[in-house]
Amino acid sequence: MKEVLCFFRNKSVVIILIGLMLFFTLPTAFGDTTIEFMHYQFLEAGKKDIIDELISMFEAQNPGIKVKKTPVPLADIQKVLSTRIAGNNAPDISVLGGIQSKAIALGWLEPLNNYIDFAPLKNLLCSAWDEESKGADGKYYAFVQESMAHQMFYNKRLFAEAGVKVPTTIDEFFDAAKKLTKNNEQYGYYLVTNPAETARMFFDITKWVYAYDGRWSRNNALTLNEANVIKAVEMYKKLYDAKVVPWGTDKGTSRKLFWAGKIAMAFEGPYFYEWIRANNPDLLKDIGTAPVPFPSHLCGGEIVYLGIPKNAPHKEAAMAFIKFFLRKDIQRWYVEQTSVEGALTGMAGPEFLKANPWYAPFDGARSKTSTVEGFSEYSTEISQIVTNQLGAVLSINKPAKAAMDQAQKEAEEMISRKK
Amino acid sequence: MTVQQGTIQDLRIRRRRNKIVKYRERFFSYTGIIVVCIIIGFPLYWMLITSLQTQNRLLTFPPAFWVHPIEIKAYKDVVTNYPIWQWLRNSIFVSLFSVLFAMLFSVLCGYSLSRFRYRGRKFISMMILLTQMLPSTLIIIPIYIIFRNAKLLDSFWGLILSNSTHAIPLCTWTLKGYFDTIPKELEDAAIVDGCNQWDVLFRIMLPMAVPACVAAAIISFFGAWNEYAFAVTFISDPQKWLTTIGLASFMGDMYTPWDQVMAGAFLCTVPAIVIFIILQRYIVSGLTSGAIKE
Amino acid sequence: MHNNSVLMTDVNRFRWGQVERKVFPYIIAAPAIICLSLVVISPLIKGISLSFFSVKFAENAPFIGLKNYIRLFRSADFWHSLKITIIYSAVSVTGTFCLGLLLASLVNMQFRGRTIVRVILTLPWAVSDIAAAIIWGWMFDYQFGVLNYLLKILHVIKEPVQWLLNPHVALWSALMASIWKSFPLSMLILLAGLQAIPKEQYEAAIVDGAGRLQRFWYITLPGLRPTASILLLLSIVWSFRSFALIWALTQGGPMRATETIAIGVYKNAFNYYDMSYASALGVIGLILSLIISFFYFRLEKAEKLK
Repeated sequence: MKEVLCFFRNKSVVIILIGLMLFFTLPTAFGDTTIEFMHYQFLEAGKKDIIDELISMFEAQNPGIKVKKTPVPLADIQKVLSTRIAGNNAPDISVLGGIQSKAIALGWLEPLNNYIDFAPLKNLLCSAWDEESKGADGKYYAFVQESMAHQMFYNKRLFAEAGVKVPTTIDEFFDAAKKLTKNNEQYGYYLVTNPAETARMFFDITKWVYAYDGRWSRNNALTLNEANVIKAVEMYKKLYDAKVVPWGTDKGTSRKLFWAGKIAMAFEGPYFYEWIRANNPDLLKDIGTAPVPFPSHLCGGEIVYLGIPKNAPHKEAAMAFIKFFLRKDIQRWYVEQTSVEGALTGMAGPEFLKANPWYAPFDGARSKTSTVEGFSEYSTEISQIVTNQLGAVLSINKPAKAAMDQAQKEAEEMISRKK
Repeated sequence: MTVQQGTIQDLRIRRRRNKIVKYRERFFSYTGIIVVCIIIGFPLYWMLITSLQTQNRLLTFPPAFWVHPIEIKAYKDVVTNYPIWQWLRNSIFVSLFSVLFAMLFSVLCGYSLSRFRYRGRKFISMMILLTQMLPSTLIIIPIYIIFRNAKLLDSFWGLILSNSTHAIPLCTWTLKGYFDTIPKELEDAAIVDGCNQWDVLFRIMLPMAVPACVAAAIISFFGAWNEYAFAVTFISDPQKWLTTIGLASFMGDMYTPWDQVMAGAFLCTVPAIVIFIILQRYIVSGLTSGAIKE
Repeated sequence: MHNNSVLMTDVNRFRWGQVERKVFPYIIAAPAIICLSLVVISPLIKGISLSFFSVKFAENAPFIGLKNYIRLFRSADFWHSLKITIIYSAVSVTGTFCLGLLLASLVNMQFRGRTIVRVILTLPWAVSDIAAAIIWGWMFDYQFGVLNYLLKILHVIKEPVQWLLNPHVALWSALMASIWKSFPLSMLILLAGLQAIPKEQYEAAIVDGAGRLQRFWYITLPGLRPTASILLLLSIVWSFRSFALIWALTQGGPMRATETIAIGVYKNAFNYYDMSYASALGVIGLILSLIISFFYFRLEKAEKLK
């Protein structure tokens, strides 16, 4: 037995040595700078190929820099990124997965202005740059990879069957949704109704807040219980009670239902078209797009941010990638490949617009992110407080005004505690 | 004569009645068992048939309890679109080595706690109990920093170390309990015969404690196989993903392909089930003999 | 010659053996202790110390003493979390234990197909937390979930149940999934304990005319006591740590209905990035476990003295 023990000890020592050798030699094998790029889009069926091509183009034009891809599931981006930054093992570039405001407030990111001159791009930057990417010193910290206004997609065939016209006001929208709902077989619309999907629920209610021209904050004061916000919450409840939306399904399943032709309307970004093409191309001929039926003509904007951690090992090379991505020709290529707006607005060429008439409502649409202006570093906590109350309104019929009053109170308490 | 006949008659009647009672008991027991098995196994059955369902049938109400036609497209998609075999290989590697190290350390420690009375014994027992109580979120960042300094990040060995360590308490207890029930005379005889301590442990005690070892191995295997929180934080290289990380990645941003998710979950569970089936007869005997006694 | 050499080695071994014998237990316990210290104890100490500083993932961490704990005790959320944790632990431990005991007795009997039944009943343990959360989440679905469908056709309910959406129901749904997942280990441990009870006791009881219930009460339960008591302690301690399943199912919602202390620790650490407050919460959870263990050992001592 002792011999066995000795043998085992030797073998594991050998294995450990080999493992350590591999660990040390592999990254520095070539003398190139390798930057590590962390993203969840490396897991997404359509996007993956586009990003791969983008990276190949970058590597071709920047010899000496190689990009190592690290895919991380969306649900884990926050945890993995924060752990790695705290453990001083940060990736060189990473998607920020919803924590851009916190990351900027906590000083995790390297300001882009130190490496990139934004002056010539001033009028081309989309609104998200100023809304969420700015730090206290006025510098940009997060790169806007994608800026997507959410407009209305609808199923023309279902509309024709129910004899419904494209709605242009909120009331028309509600009536249309009711007409398009057949119990358990078909729904008019979908909303996030499960508070466990905090960020997505907050985004959905924000869309409706903007529909009524409400705001979460004005002039550096929280306005969670202003009249327009309460109207939005009541509308959300109205849609829920009328059962024109499926209850409790997660957003992914709701989207699936839409692609299966079981839901008639959706407020989504332009990527939605590509996904339909990837998942159910037969449905494409039935798909129509229209501006959201809101009097304010303001839609919610979904933004994907990239950031370079302050303690990243290869900041210069990472900034080179950002610079590359900001080039106008690359932006145009990206927009036309993915059908989403990127860092710069109005990059879609006229041929693209002609070839893709469905893109019309998205081109130059007025959108606003769901960040709470002036309080963006508390956006996670605020969104949790708001969705808690919204969940109470939906599932146990708490009155909207009482709910939002409590949300306002809790949010103010939370901020005064943390300051 | 009549009295005798009477008693024989009575006996026959009683025997028949007992038989009926026994059959009735049997019937109820079997029914009860079948009902229990159906209730407990239902979620897994549901997982299986969801993975074999066609897309259209999946998102309709009412849900189907039986699958017809059987659609294995989900499995095909999972296997072609995701490197599931690599995940399985990685998980098996990490789990096997975690079990190995956990077993090694637990056998040593359990024997030490069982057979010897020495200063610090109580302290060691306390420490082992203490480590059972920690929420993993409390220690994940400090561990991350320690592993980074030791260059154990993004490496299977870091995970193996942390898995083994988390398995040590329960395995040590199991082995200690089992060792407690082995009579000391065997060891004393061996020492008189000229064995040293190590020989006693490895040549005599260990072979006798095989059931407990297998039980401890199963416990640590399942712990390592299903581990998620540490795996997703420490491993960043996609080549090194485990099955748990891979499964979580199915819950994408766009949509949750339920049939693929269930197919993936099924494929990732099969090895654990197979191993359990092979080793299951040891687990009870290994835990027995007053195994969980202080 | 042979005898002489044996004698020589005996003497050597005797002299060497005394030292070795003293040190041996320490040596063999050492690897386990080193691992535990490295991977558990020192991070624990660091984690606890974090709670006394104002660490927000940033470099500078001013010492703030008990400020986190004061904030904790003042916030209604904490007491709510505590309540939820206690309810969750109590129900989960009781449910797991009772179900485990029931099924262990069942599986202890001799019948054909016993092995298959044992395997089926242990399957929930083999499934990972994530897979379990996925399956139960799908079964709990309001629209397409099979549970609502079954209850409907059995005419138990008229309206589908909002398993994971309604704050009054969500905790019980999470408990259902949790008990399903964790009872196999309890069942196996109790089964081992049952098999350790000598059969002669039962036979003697039958001869004495004891009924089923009496046999259970006077033989089974006392015989199980040592096993059951430590199983209960372990179950309670594990239930305080339980995180992955609840998180994947409800993320602590809706409206904090399932936010146990463990979930609160994760939320504060990785959603709000307030590591120090999260550490304080974690320390409270640790203290709770320690209190329970303390009472357990007290009880054990009292029993031993009896």
